[in-house]
Amino acid sequence: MSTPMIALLQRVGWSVVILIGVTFLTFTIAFIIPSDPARTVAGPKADRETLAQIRKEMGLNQPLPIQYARYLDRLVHGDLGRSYLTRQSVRQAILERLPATAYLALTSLAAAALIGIVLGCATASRQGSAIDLTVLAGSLVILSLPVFWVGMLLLYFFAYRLRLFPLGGFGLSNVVLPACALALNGAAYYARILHTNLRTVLEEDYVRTARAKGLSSLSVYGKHALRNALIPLVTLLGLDLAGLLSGVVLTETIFNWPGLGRLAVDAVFNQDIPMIMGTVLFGAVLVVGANMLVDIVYMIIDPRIRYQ
Amino acid sequence: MVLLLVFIAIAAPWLARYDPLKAVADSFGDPFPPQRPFWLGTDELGRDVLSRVLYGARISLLVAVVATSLTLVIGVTVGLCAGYFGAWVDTVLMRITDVVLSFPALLLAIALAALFQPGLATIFVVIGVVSWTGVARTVRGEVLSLRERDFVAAARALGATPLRLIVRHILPNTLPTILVMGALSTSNTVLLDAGLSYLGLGVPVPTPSWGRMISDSQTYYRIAPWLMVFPGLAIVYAVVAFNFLGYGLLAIVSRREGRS
Repeated sequence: MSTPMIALLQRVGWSVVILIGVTFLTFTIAFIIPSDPARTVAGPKADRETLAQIRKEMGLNQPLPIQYARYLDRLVHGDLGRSYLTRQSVRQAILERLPATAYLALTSLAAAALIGIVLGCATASRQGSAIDLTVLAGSLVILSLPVFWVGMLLLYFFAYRLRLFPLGGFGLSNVVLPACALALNGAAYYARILHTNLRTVLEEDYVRTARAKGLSSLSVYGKHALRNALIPLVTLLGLDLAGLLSGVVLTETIFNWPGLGRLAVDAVFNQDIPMIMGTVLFGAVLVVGANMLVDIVYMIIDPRIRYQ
Repeated sequence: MVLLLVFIAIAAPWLARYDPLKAVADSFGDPFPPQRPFWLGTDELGRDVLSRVLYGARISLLVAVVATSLTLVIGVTVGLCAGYFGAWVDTVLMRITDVVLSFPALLLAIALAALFQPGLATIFVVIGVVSWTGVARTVRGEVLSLRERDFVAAARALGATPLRLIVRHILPNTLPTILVMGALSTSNTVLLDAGLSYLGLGVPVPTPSWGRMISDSQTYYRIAPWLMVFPGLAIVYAVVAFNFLGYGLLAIVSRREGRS
C-alpha cells in the first residue's frame, strides 16, 4: 500500500475511534445521569408495576455494559429511539428537519464566506489604513454579538418596522434574515483570518518574483496570493460545522425556522430524552464526518501535507 | 473596560435605585419607555430595567469567573499532562478532547443543562465542561515547545521529579498563554451563559439575567423595543470588554516572546 493510502486509512480509522467515543459519551449522559428514565416516560402518577414493566422494556435492569452494547447495536441499525412526547421515531424526526437546517446553514455559510473574503481582500491590501483598522476593530465587536440578540434586532427593524422581510417561518424570502444573523459571526471571523493570511502570503518571495516578472498587480493578487491564502480558509469552513450547528440552535428558535436546532430546543423543554440525545448524537456525527472529509480532501489536494 | 464591568457588578446594590425583583412602577403589562426616574424604562412586570441590567452584571460576572475557572482548570491540566508526558498519554487525552470537540457546544450545553437540576451550579459545570477543549489544545502546544528548552533539560539533570518540573518550571512559563485563553474564554462563557439563559436554562426566574431578560422581552417587542435592546447591549459590552482584554494580552505576550 502506498503511503498516502495508509495515511488515508489511518485518518478514517481515527474517525471511527472518535465516533465510538462520541456514542459512549452520549450514552453516558443519556442513561446514567437522569434520575429515572422510566419515571419520565411513565409520568408522575404511574404505579410501581408500570414502572417495573417499563424498566424491563427499556432494559434498564441490566448491567451498564450490556445496556451500552444494546445501545450501540440499535445505533448501528439506525434506531435512535422513540420520542417520549410524540412517539415518533427520532431518526425520522431528525431526517425530516435536516433539509431545513441544511438550507439555512449553507446559505449563511455562503454569505459569510462571500462577505468575509471580500472584506479580507479589501483590507489586506490597504494595511494600516482607516479601512483596515475599522474592519479589524469592527469585526471584533461583531464577533461579540450574541446571535439571538442580532436576530431579534434584525427581526425588529427589517421585518417589523420596515416590513421588508417576513417575520419568521420557512421559505425563500424568510431565509434572508436568519442567514444574515448567522453569517455575521462567520463573516467577521473569516475576514480576520483571510486578512492575516493574505498579509503573510503577500510578503512571500514568490509574490515578489511574480511582480518583478512584470505581471499585473491583479493577476499576482488573484492567481497566486489568493489561492494560497484560501486553502486554510477552506479547511476552516469545513471544521467550523460545530460552531454553525450551535448558532443554528438559537437562530432557528428566534425565527421559528423548522429545523434541527428548534427540534433540539423543543426536546429540551419537553424533557424528551431520546430526542435530545438523538439530536446531540446526530450533530456530533455530522461534525466528525465533516472533519474527516475535510482532512481527506486536504490530504489529497496538498501533497506537502501527510499524516505521520 | 473590564474594570468598569467589575465595578458595576460589585456596586450594583448601591447604584441601582430600585429593587430589581420588585415591581416599582405601575407599568404591569404596559412597560414605560426610558424616562425619568426610570432611566432605561420599566419592564412588563413593573421592574426598573436599569436596576435589572446592573444586577444582571453580578450574575453574569459570577458565572463568567467561576465557569471560566473550571474551564481553565480542566483545560490546563489536560494540556499540561498531554504535552509533557507525550506518547500514549498524549494520544488518549487528545482523542478525548476530539470527542468532546465533536459535539456542537451549545447543543451539548443545552442537553446537559436540561438533564440536571436548574441552578447556578449546573451552569458553572455545564459551561466548564463544554469549553475546556480550546484551552487544552493551546496549552498542550505551548508545553510541547517548552519541553525542549534548555532550562527543562537543566532541571532534569539536577534531578527534578516530573511533578516538580511541571509545576515549578513549565507551568509558570505557560501562564501568559493561560491568561490570554482565560480572557477569551470568559467572553465565550458570557455568550454561552446568555444563550442558555435565553433558552430558559439559566438561573431561575426572578434573578435578573441578561439572556433571560431578552427572551422575556420578546412578547413585548412591538410596544417596548427597549426591553430587548438594553440587556443585549450589556451582553455585547461585557463580551467586547473581555475580547479586547484577551487580544490586548495576546499582543503583549507575543511582543514579549518575540523579544526573548
